[in-house]
Amino acid sequence: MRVRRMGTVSALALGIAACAASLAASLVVGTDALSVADALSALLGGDAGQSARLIVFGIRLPRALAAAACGAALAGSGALLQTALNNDLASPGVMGVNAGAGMFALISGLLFPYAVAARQLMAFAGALAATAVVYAVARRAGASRTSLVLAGVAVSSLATACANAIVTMWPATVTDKVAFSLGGLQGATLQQLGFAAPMMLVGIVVAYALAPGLDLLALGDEAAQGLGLDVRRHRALAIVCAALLAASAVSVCGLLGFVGLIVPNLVRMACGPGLRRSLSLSLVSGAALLTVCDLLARVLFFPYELPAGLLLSLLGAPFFIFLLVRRRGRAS
Amino acid sequence: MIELVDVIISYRGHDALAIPEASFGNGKVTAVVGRNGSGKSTLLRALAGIIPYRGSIRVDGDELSGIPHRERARRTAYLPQTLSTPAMDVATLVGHGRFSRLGPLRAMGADDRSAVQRAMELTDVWELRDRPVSELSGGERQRAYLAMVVAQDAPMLLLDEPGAHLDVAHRRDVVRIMRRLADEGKGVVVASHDLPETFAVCNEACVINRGTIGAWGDTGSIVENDGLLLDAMGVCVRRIEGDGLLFPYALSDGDDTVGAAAADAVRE
Repeated sequence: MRVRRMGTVSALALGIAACAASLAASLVVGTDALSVADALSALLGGDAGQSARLIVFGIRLPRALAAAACGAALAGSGALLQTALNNDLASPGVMGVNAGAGMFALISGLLFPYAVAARQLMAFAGALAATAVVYAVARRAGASRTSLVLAGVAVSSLATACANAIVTMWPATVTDKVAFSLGGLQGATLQQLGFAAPMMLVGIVVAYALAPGLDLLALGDEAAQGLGLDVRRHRALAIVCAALLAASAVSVCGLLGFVGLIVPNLVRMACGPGLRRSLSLSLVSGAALLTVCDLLARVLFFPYELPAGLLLSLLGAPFFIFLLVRRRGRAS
Repeated sequence: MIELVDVIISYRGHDALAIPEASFGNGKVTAVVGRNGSGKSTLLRALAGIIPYRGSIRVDGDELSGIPHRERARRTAYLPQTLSTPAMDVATLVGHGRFSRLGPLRAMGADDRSAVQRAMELTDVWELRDRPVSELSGGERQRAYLAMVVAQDAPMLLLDEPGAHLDVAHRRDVVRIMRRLADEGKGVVVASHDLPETFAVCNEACVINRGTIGAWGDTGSIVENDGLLLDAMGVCVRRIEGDGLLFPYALSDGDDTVGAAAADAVRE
């Protein structure tokens, strides 16, 4: 299958436009009694009234920003992992990075219920621990594409089981158990985002710095080393950076799967490899995708609200199967 | 210039090669020959700084293990024996050869682009520059990788079986490319088990046998040493006289009738 490749600039412009449009739509469209016209007027500084302004800026804006930031971070994390491990099935969700971060975030909620910073750091520690275990197990098992996924499944289930145990025994640790395990932005606050955003920013800057070196890994470790890349250091840094990005997202939006898997793969299909380029496109597309999903989750079954993670799983699981099948087809 | 003194190289936990002394110079092609599994690739990997060693390997006077990765890649370029098929086009692949020479922003400049073009023209892949590597034949891919290490512009090139997967005409081209690189002053170390082809191009040969360098010398002296080659490789070679010979050596098992028959086959 050959897809006509888009130019990077036009693709990036499209992504940014989609991102902006979905953010604007999230602010204006909603489930409250607030009409679109009133929301628009509040947004544009008209005389919509106190409650309209409160809803738009106090509730919808933080949530939309959190969705965009988490979507970008998860997609960026996936792009990094896929390049660093040279495996298009890798992603923070599949590899158990999210589950590890989620479990540690819950433990932190248990031990230090009011410390947002502790939650962040614990999520990062959990993400790192899960990645380290998955990577070590996959290497032992032969470091093939699928062994990484299998190791991820094992670690994911373990972490999820622990998380469920915590939630069952101490229900107060998460406000909404279902929302946390499926992933969603109901609980996202500006305060959480305030802690997560700087970590995401650090992760993204480091990712851009590592990108040209990581591109060499597609040639195989020996060739990359011959070209002057410190392969072990680059790969380790990329994994740490991906864990940081995923952890900061999970601490805000719970166990949101598939963004990190779908987005970078689609971006590569549309625009080809080259991590700097695909990272930029993944960041904007991830932000747009999660913002749209969150918006749909809010309005589709009004007055009930779906967790955004549920919608993503509906999209993501078939895509994952497609990737598996395509790979098998190519190998034979 | 790469100099080895009392070097021991381990491979998968046991000592694979012990080399008391050796040196690989610039401006010439040095062949590393030996049977499969004799340690040719291991030696090249160690010279490229990819696997650890004990003893001393000096590259232009500096101990290899102490040279930072990018600086090492500016001094030696390495073509591995097994090549992967990355999802990128040929120009991007060859461009990766410039990695060690890029500035802090890792963006290619005019110098880099002209080096890449020159390398692609030298290895005859310029026409393929927009093709995805996954659509190339084995031989085209091999030449694209060769272009990549040539674009690296290092004074020493370490090539592990550069003629593998190539048809006869392109193997001849690879031989000519190596010759030309050496004439430009670069040092080329090539691991190969194809004796006629390798002896046709190299100035010196280094025969790996029984975990060490069995013999080392200019091509002529190695070629004439039947006993040495028969012991190390199981065959020896005969020089063939005549016009238009691509590889003026033929394989022999020491029986000259066989040698002559092989010679006919190589003659154009």
